[in-house]
Amino acid sequence: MKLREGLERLAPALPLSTALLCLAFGAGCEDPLALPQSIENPRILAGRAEVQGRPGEAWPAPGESVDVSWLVVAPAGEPMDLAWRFEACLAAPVNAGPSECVAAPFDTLSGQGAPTFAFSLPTQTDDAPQVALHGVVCRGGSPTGPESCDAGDTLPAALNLGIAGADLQNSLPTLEGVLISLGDATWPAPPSDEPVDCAADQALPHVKAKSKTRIRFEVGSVPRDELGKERAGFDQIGDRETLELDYYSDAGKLSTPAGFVEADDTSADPLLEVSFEAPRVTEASGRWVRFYFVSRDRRGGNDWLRRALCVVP
Amino acid sequence: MRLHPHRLSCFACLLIGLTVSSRSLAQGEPGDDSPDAGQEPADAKPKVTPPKLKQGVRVERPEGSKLSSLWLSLTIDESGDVTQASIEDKAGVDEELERKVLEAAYRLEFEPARVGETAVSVRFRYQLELTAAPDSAPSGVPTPGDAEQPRAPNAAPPPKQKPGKSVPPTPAAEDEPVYEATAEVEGPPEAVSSHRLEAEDLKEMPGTRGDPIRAIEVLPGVGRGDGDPILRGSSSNESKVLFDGAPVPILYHFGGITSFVQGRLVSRIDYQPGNFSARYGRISGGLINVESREPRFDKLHLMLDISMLESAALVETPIGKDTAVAVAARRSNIDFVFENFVPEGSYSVLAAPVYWDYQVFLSHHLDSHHTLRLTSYGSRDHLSLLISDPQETDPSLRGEVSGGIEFHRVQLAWESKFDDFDSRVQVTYGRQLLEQHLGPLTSEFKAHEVFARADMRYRVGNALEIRSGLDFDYYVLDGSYQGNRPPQFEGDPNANASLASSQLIFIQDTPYTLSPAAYVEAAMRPVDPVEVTLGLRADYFEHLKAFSLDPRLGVRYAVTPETTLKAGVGRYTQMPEYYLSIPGLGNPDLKPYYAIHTSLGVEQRFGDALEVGVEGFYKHLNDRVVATPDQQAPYFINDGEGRIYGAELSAKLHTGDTKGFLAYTISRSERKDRDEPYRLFDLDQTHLLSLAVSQGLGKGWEVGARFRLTSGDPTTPIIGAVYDATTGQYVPRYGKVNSERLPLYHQLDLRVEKQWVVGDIKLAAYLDLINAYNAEHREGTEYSYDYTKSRPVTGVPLFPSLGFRGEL
Repeated sequence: MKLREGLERLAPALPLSTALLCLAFGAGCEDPLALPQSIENPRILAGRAEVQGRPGEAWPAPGESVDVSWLVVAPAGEPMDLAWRFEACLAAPVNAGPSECVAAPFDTLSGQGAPTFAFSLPTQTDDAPQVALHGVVCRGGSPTGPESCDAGDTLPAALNLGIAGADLQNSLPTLEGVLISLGDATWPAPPSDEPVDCAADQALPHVKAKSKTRIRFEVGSVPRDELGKERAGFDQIGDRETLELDYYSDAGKLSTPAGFVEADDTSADPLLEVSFEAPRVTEASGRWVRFYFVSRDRRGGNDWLRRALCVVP
Repeated sequence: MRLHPHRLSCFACLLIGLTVSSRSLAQGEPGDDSPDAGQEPADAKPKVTPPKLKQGVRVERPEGSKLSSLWLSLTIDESGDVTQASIEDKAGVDEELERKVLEAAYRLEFEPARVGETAVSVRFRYQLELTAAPDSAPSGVPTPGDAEQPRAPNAAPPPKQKPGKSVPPTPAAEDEPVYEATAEVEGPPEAVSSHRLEAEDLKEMPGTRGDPIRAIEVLPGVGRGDGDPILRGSSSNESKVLFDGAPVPILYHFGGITSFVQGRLVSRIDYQPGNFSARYGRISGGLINVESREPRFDKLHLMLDISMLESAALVETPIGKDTAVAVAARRSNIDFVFENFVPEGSYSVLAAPVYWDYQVFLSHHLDSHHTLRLTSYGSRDHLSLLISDPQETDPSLRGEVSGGIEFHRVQLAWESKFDDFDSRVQVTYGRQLLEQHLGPLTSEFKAHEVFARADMRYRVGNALEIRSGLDFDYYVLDGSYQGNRPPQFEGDPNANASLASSQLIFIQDTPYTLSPAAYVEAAMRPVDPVEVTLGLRADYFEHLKAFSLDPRLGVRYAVTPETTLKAGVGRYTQMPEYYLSIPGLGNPDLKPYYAIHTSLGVEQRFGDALEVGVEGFYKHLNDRVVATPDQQAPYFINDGEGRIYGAELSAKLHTGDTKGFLAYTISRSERKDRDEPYRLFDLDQTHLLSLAVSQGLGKGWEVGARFRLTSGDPTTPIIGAVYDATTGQYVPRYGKVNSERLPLYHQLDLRVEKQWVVGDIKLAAYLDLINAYNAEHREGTEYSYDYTKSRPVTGVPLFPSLGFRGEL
């Protein structure tokens, strides 16, 4: 009996030999091919579901309706020439990746512009533990299939939600009350209209080109559910949700793609930090850099915040 | 007469120890007055009779030399003449002595070895004593092995004269030095498909960095795996590596650096990729059996070996007349390299990679028939890193990333050997500890394991041998696991999915496996050149409540003394890996799966120096364990098949100072999951070519080269990716499973060693060049977080390893 082999199979861990090679020879340890925290292409960053009539809740009960919105971004901001198509089905988790339908889709939704829609869960869910949304967002084209577009950028996406029950709930990890600091100052939400000459507006947050600035999040207000015995297929480690906060920017470099409040972190006001290295800027008008911070509870609960700053020469 | 213990393989090997009092010889009389005098070696009759010395020779020790003897490798033909001779270890042997020794060796005369009544050509190890120069020989002492004194066929060889020790003119029997010769006579192997690597073949194999177990990589059918070898297209968990009859938890430190056992304690390696004896079971693939040797009984031996990679020491010493012990230990030096030369980056080293191992072998000859062996060995690998930022492609890889495996074994074996009956009874207790931490994902397990075997062999006349035995395997785990739910792994490209996008589970359990077995095997010789081996093995898998009965048949037909045809067919049952039947994790109702092995081949000798074998094989796998189609409970079912077929060519050259191995395999290994069509096995390697050559250059120089070429592993193309908003990870979409291949793998390893003899001390310096021409091996593909960009992941570049060794 090979215990190691069995457990290595259970956990696709960084094999020791690989780690050794990696560290000794640098094999496969080069810089990443692309940084996930850098928005260099049109991308979907998040999908958010909230039950109608029960604000702050992500999982619908049978018969309930859910509002869904997707955060789609591009290097130049949030694109508008979007078309989308999503299917909703009863689903069950699989080993890796989005849950798979266990029955034919009960709703198909499509539209144009920012992907926002609502669907209603059937009253009979046949013991399926989850509902899954599978679909595609097309930029510069139209959906032609579950994961295809006829032109432009094809952005397939999925989101899994549990089905709420008496002991099954999932609060959204809402970022509404999170205090964000840029350097030592509070970082307010950006104006709805992006400035043309951000350098000239002293009310906007400014940072120097190539400078490094600390961004700090006080996330104690973010709900983190206690996990009951029944987890609707979202088998997490620990008795409480792990909070993940993903960082994105469309210019410069964030030091890490994500921060975590681990399941066993019981501190009252946990802090997360990331460092931002501003891009090189030569224009006197400065460069308007957009930031997106996405919280995830890894059970289908997502939320996001936008921020922006002006990088000046 | 004293019989050295050896493994109970009937035809595979006959190990004969001849320990003969030299008193009568010293007095010029044939035979002696000991009770054993004149007996045939027990193992020699009735089937295989080793060569017997008829005519000795005398070679004088050069002035100033402290060499007392030399081991020779002889080929003795059907008439008893020496047709090939070489010195096994030339340390301290100059060209003049080499010439004298070889001249003398060709004058040795033997009665030929026989199989039944038929004289056969054999290879034979012979220890040639070097006598003192005539002017320094004590007067009145008969010249040992004097060629002018022909002896009777069973006469004892000449007495040993130890350097610096004068032999009394009329020595008392108990004070007489003893001559001891050991002969290995290769009979037909126990398995139809079998290859044996002897210690002499193993020591200086290039590309192994002096690690004999790595020498198996040059054998036919051995593919490149991810640590443990891939044998004839079976996955590594379908094959087994045994060390002195007990399965080992790891073969190599850190999955491939060096094996867990000191190479100088390895006696031989039997490689049986298919159609092996009913003696072995619970596997459907192949078998590698590593045998340790006895500690040396003659005197104290020390060895110290230091290289960039590791430091090793070995001590062997007799304890009294009938007991000897060997103790070996090794520790890696990599942590020193890490701490001093590897720059810190996005990680910090909490515990640099360290491995160590130890072995203790104690052998006690109770009497001429019984030997008790107590063995203990163990090993530990450990590495711990602190990753300061989550990994871009898998945020679950954050915080502490560490892993370690440790095991300890103790084995007690009792060997008995009589003329018509041999037995070996052994019990092995082991302890394994494994821990892995990947940020929030952890597994910690401790295991107890007990392996017990009792093997017996009865010879009934000249035409029948019965082998039977019991085989017991118990294994219990205690621990916890939190991580991803195990997929099918083989054939499932999602098995490499990031942990962040995987479903996570927590298991705390005490699973066990309990599998007793019994076997019986009859080796018959209905007509003299035809040998038929019919075996039956019964296994019970208590934890699965399943029983299996595996019949096995092997036939060998010696067309001529040089040419043997062979064929085999048999059933080989294997239990699923333990975790696949853990409730909640897998399916407790799984049943064992099995393979049918068939093979047909020919072995051909060309003279005494070259042996060539060609073998075709077909294996069909039935009731393979595969995942349920929807990955829902019960998660795993017995609904897979497989087929593996191919042909192997092997050649072994041993002439003078040149040793060479050539192996080429062409094969195809396919799997079928549920009702899906056949696809390639994850590690299918169509072409496997290995060539290893070593050449002694005289004056202590030896050079060697090993070249290996294999097909690249199959891969599954990624044709897109879906953004999973639940986890924030991109999940790849795959094309047809294993429909593409990595490029050809090829690598040349070189080794050069220089030995010096300073008094009784042998010193050596060696340099291994791994991947000598710095071939860039593509071992896989690395993708960006969204799978839109990729680049090759390459293997180890040119790696030199310099080392020094001292032996006493």
